[in-house]
Amino acid sequence: MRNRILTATGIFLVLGVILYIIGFRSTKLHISVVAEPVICLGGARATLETCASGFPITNSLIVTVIVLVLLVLAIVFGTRNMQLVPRGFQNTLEALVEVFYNFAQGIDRKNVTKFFPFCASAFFFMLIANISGLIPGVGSIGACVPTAEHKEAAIVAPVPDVAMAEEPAGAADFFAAWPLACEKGTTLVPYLRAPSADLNMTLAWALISVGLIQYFGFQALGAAYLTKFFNFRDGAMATFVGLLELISEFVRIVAFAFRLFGNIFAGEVILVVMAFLFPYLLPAPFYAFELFVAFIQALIFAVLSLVFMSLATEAHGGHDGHGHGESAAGAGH
Amino acid sequence: MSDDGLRLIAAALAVGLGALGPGVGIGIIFSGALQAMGRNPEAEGTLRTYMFLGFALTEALFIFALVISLLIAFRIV
Amino acid sequence: MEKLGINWGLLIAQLLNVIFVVWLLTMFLYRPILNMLNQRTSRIQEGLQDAEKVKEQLANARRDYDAELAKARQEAAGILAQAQERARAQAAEIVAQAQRDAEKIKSDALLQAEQERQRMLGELKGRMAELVTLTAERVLGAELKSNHDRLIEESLAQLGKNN
Repeated sequence: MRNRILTATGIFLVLGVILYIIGFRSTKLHISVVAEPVICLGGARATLETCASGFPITNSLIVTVIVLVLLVLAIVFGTRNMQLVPRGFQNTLEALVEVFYNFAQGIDRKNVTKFFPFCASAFFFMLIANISGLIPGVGSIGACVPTAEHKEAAIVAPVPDVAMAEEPAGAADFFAAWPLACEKGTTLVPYLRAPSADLNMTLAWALISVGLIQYFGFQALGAAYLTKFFNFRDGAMATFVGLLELISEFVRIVAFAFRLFGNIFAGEVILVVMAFLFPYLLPAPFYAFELFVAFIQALIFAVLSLVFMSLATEAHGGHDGHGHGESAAGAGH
Repeated sequence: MSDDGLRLIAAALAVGLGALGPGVGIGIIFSGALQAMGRNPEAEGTLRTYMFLGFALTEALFIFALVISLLIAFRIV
Repeated sequence: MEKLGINWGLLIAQLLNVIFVVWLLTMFLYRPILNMLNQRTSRIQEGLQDAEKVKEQLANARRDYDAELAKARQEAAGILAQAQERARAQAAEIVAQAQRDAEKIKSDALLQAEQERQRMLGELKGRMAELVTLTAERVLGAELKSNHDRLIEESLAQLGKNN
């Protein structure tokens, strides 16, 4: 078994090196922080990344819709005729939901029914959204959009297009002559892009999450929840701590949004760079790692939402530090 | 050295130096959590919760660095 | 913010999308599945309780059955003993009856035989006297007349004793 793996890897490596030397390699490295619009609905494209007018249908928006369709299909096929003795796909869905429900129960048993819907939705949606970026074809199949005429409008954004202008003429793009290849002066705008690699999506989830945290806090504690932020009674120190808490609430939005975006986008960049450096076999371990990251980031978003919601509903008491101990005991059960 | 070059160096330094501290911090958090779980497996649920909380708070620092780096790189500041 | 790709339209679209996802999954996935799980839990608990009940009933039935069986066995033994007793008594009675009958038959037969003997003896006596008289009359005839009657009497008595 081990020998076979080694043999296969060796053969693949040799084949890869040969292909690389022949010229089957990418010489274009295009990375975009922004989800590019595929179509500008009712308007015209201004640059590669923006629409002059109209609503931009970005590639990440398309994948978001695809993920939604997948979720709807899963729901339709999983819960079409629910049976007391589960079978097939219903069993899978039930197992997923139950595992996450038990996990959420371990964090906050008291309010689990309140917190569970949002956190579980975040987990399942983000799991699919994160993994969607790893599917071959996502990010590599797209339309060619001319970049040249917008060059002055885009004011040389440092990362967007590293077209290897400095390369010697001999090392021109091997695939340029191939059908469906993008011509010189145009850049590929992929039809599909992982929704998590788009700040709009992560920011939307972060906003809703932090909003729900505040909502649950008010629901559980009433106006007393505000004393967490505006605490003028216990001296200057408490006031300062309260203000810090207030700032940290806003920081949470940024942290939530950029954690997910940063991880997934960085993963895509790593994969693209690895594929650019040596496209054979080298990206494989990174694929495995990105799969793990996709799962762990979805889990982290859900768990952090859950923990923050749980903390927001705990009465924090007059003495700081003590309240955290209580919440520790509360969260443990 | 051009202005853009300096900008790129600044962005790279921001994210690279910003990753140092949180990297060490996250390592300490997970090592501490794993040790605690090993010694007291019954408390794993609580520990996992607080491990994630600490992880998030520590990683937030790196996120700030990343944001600053992006701000520099994209000429927002 | 434009450089980071944040676009108000897209952001609002994604916000709506988040709300839609949460609503969709809550209404059509979590609620039915959690209901189903609860239902299953209660069903299993019910089943376990039922099983417990059935087990108890089974144990009860077993105990009743055993008790019944023991009782029946005891009764059967009693009936058997009674029957044996009765049979023994009957047998004894029958034997006694038979003995009595045999005794009676024997005594009857003895009595009868005695009577017969007496009767035959009497008869024989009569016939013998007749025959002797007849014979003596023939042999002696006229000669023996006066005291020969006493001699005849004596010989007859002798004869009766011999018999």
